[in-house]
Amino acid sequence: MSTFVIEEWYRGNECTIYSIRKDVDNPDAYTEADRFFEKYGSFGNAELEGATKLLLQFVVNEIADVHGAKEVFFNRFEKEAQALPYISGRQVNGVLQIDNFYPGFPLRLYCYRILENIVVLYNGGMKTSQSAQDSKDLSMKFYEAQTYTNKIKNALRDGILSISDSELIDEYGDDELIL
Amino acid sequence: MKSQIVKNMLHDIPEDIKLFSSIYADLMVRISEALVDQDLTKSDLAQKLDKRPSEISKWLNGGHNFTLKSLCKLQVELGVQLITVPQKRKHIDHDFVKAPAESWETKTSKTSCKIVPIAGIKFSQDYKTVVNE
Repeated sequence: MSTFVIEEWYRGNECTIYSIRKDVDNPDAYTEADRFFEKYGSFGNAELEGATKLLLQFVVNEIADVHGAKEVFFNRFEKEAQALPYISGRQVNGVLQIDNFYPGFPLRLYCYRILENIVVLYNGGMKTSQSAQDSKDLSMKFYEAQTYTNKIKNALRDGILSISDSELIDEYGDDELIL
Repeated sequence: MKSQIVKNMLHDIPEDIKLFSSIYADLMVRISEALVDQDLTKSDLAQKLDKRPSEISKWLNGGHNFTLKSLCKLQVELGVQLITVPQKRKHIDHDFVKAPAESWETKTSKTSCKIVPIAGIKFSQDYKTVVNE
């Protein structure tokens, strides 16, 4: 995978939501989060469109504006019962899925929760089989999410990215984040 | 966000979806905080709720939709308020509400209202209430 930009997608009172822009040279290009919400929000299927609206509302209102990216909103399989994660699914390499508002919720949106006040949204899709990797619409997004997460983790570890309040900045203090 | 479609979608989210999202998030945060405060494990909670640990796992991993019954049980066991339903209504306008005579007595003993008989209809079975402001 070539370089990508981490771009602020929505700034709430409690959490800043970033997303990935694949087209490094075009600042007007949509982020992966925009692509996801636009695609499934106008899919021509009432169930999918309702699910998309619920995800959008949850990310913007509940995570960004009201509660922050509480651990309870994300998978924590390695932990015991101190929380009640209502988002089920697997967590691989720190990549989380926002998915389970009710049984049979049809969409998966991948993301990386860096802190309670910083989340990066990737892309996602429809889950059509038991595992994400076997779902035609999801498998590529799943692997992309792994790559983005690895790069972000490494950049944070190596000081290429750092955190200032609820913002990601690069090593020169710039918010144009190209990895 | 750049997509105008997404901005419009956010602006036009139906009220029931907003409410669901908000209540669900509030509920999960509240329950998780109570569990952390009380230092409860899965087995502790299972024991308190008289459930199998596997069933509790379902709850904790999100593969379960709460029923009103399970929420009430959780509220009691965790000792935190999880649900409230507003009790007091300022205005009740029961047009042509059918109710047995005995429930009329119960109603009048609890609320300050007058019974307005509807012309031509037998009073004990059909009535209209108007709450005194």
